[in-house]
Amino acid sequence: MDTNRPVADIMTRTLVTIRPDTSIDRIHDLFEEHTFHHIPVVDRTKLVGIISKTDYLKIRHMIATTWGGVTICQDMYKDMCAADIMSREPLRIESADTIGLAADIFKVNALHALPVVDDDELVGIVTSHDLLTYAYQD
Amino acid sequence: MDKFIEVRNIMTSDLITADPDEVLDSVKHKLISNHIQHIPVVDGKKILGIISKGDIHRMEHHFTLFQSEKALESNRQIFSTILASEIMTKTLVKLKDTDTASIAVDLFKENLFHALPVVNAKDQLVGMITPIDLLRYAFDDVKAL
Repeated sequence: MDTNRPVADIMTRTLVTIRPDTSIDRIHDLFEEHTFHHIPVVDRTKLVGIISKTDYLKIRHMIATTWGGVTICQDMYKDMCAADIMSREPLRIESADTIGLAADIFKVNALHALPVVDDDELVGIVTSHDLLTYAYQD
Repeated sequence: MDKFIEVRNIMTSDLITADPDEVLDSVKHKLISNHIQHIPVVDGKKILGIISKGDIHRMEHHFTLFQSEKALESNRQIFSTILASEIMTKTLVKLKDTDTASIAVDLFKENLFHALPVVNAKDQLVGMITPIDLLRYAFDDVKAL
């Protein structure tokens, strides 16, 4: 295994992304429809945030405990969007950075997904699964 | 690095566990204070189920939706009456301690689990393995066995 290869070789390039004004309902649907656990938030092609499924579940709970009541919660969801709940300025990596560096970041931070950004443009995402597939491939 | 290494060599064997009759409040505290995402529910050395932090967040959310006032306090009361055995996931995928790392990787790639319990030949829980354990093994130069 060559840990000096660039993450560009193993990253996922076809991404589902959302915009800062994407509704919470839409985010909910995306997590239900897909098996992924992270959605990058982009303004045109610039990465502005990331939403993990865990963050989304936590926030859903927080809204419910703060406000209580089904109707109020549903109204809150309608008014809220990705920008309200995303993690801003997420850790990121460049496509020329090495697979070894990505592994170090995952190990230290117990993260599972890193957006890949070149010159301020989101070009892919690399996950712990991509690294495992690479490391344990035939 | 040997992708056919047995999972018992790279799993976490020093486990925090919950009892089936432990109240959810206590389970939640264990997850938070130990910074873990999953906790196995055991009867002696036999694993009965798993509870994840995501399960707890989902439950909190559902209960809270039906409380119009004092939601936090209500949640606390409900959580002090629900038992681990009542909400744990009982249908488990388990690894044998002699299964290879590569089998674990294939299971994680399905993206349905983020932690798998590991049992020995007597079906006793001996460890848990996560994608991070597999990454550590693959990307650390030397890991003492």
